[in-house]
Amino acid sequence: MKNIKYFFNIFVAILTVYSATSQNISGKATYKIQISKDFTMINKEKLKAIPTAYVDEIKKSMTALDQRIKLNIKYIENNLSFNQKEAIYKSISGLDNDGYNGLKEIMIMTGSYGLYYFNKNTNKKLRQIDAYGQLFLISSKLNARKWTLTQESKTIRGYLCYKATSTLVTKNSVGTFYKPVIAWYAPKLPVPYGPKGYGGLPGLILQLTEGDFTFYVSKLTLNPKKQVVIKKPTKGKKVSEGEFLAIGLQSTSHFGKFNH
Amino acid sequence: MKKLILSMVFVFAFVTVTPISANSTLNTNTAYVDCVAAAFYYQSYLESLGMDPEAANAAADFQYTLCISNNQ
Repeated sequence: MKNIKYFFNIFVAILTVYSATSQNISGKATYKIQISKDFTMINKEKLKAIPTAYVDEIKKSMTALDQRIKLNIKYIENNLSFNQKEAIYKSISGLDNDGYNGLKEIMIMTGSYGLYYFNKNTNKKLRQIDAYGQLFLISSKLNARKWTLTQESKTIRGYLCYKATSTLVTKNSVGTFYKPVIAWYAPKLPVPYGPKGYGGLPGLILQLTEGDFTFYVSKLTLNPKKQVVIKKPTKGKKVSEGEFLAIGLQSTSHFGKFNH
Repeated sequence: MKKLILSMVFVFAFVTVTPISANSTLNTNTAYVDCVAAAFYYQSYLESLGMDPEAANAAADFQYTLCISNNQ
């Protein structure tokens, strides 16, 4: 079994190197988001931690949030523009100006607000986002995520894709949470990019499931006549992922510990 | 707007654990106080589901805006 895994990894590596040297790929991928059938924000166990006086209010709010997510998610579209060197991922959905229908809220929840920039040559990833009342530019390494490559495969949009798995670790004022992440990448499209800042795989991610949300390619344009130009974001307070997390934790540390 | 809401939530959280009189520091309008408290529990509940602080904060901000507009 170990030998099979070894040869599979060698095969993927050779395929990637071959593809990378034989093609100068660029293009645009549009991602849409699908929600799992049994998705709900209402969790009876977690509600027990809410003071009795607020349980009904929170339940009501979560039912409304469920509806807003189901209503708005179909309108969210994100575009990944890429070339061999760099890529940028940002929303192409029109934001409602008053925000009352909740599109912006759902975009934030699905990582569709702000933008992600990748640079393969420098192994750098930047995330530009307006949060906590100011604009941030969060930097990290493009290949920081640990993936487990598997031999499981399926065809997406005519491309043979392999399954890779990882775990999303989220820290907040309540604790540390783990969500499974499943990516399907195409070695024939040898760029290490994907939706929502995910990347570092030996091929473009054509489908990615993070918890209840699945990001899938709804449109793919390769090597367009017009050159794909990618502009690196520069505006925003420069912070690391750790520093940005610390700012987030600080914002809730005074009141987020009621259900420890 | 977010900064304003965040600061209000801070004040609310602060007065719950200190002997400072709420009357001296806060708007005592019941709807206002309820909206701040609801936003506070809303964010904490979302975080208890594993949501990242930034998304939970933005969602609570949105919820607060809805609450205030419904009470006006």
